[in-house]
Amino acid sequence: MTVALLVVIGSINDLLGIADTATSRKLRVPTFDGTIGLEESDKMVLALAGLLMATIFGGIHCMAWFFTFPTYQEQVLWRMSAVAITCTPWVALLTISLMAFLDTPDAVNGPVSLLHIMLYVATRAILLVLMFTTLRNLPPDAYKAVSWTTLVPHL
Amino acid sequence: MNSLMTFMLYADGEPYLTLRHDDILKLLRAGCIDAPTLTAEQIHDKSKGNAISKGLIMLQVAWFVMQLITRAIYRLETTQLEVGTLAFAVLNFLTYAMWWNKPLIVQCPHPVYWKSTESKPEDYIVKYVCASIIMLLLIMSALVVMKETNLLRS
Repeated sequence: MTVALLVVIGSINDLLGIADTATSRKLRVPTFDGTIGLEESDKMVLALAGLLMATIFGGIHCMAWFFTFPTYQEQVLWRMSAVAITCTPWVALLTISLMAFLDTPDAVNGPVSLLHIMLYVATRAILLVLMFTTLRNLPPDAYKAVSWTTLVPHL
Repeated sequence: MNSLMTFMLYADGEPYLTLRHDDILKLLRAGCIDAPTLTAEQIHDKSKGNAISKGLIMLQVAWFVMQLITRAIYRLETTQLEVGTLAFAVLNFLTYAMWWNKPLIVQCPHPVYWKSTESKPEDYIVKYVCASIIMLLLIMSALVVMKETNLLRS
């Protein structure tokens, strides 16, 4: 497990270039070069931009709120997951600042952060699976195409 | 080799290492390399993408979004897969806006030649790499130990 974790961390590190490793160092540069030092205010702007992006992304998934689903359970699952991916980044921001404010020990911080990441990953996975499983039973309207020619006058 | 514009340090005619901004400053101050001269046009010349390749994708995405909007107007059902695609398409738009001026698929780094005869590149860079690899390994093993103990406790 330790080895697997090291491999995962190593590859993410290679991509971001947070620290130097032999492979990323020698003849190529990391794809998302994270080595350029940023001001504290720039980091805040970046974090906020990321949060905004995540909110937009989640919000669009919420657009399927009243769509037809093959079963009621799938609809509830979709709604819960869509709300989860929209809110998790903000909840994470809140808890992280709260933990920083309360100065909680690392033994608490680690599992709590891990919980957020696991929740996000799980709900994203659920949404991805639902996108394809719901295709099995589509309402007849979904097969109709917009007839563009009727929009042109005098045709 | 990579999609980022880089400077490759050549020592004795062989590619030695890609230089990063801090390396370049350090070597410049030590007088080991000459300042690389590069114009904005030369940087953009490295890019394999152009307004057409980028514009085509934008057009396709715009067509997809427009179709979804008209489907909504005509009250035709939209599938969940389309909503998921729309979410990625919107992020795609934002990425394209951010990366519009970034050279795409840069394959040749810009050469920078080692000119100092008294010292070798190893004197400046390798030690630093070793130290940071050791630091990284220490940090990662500390992280792993922390994670494992937390998991064991709960």
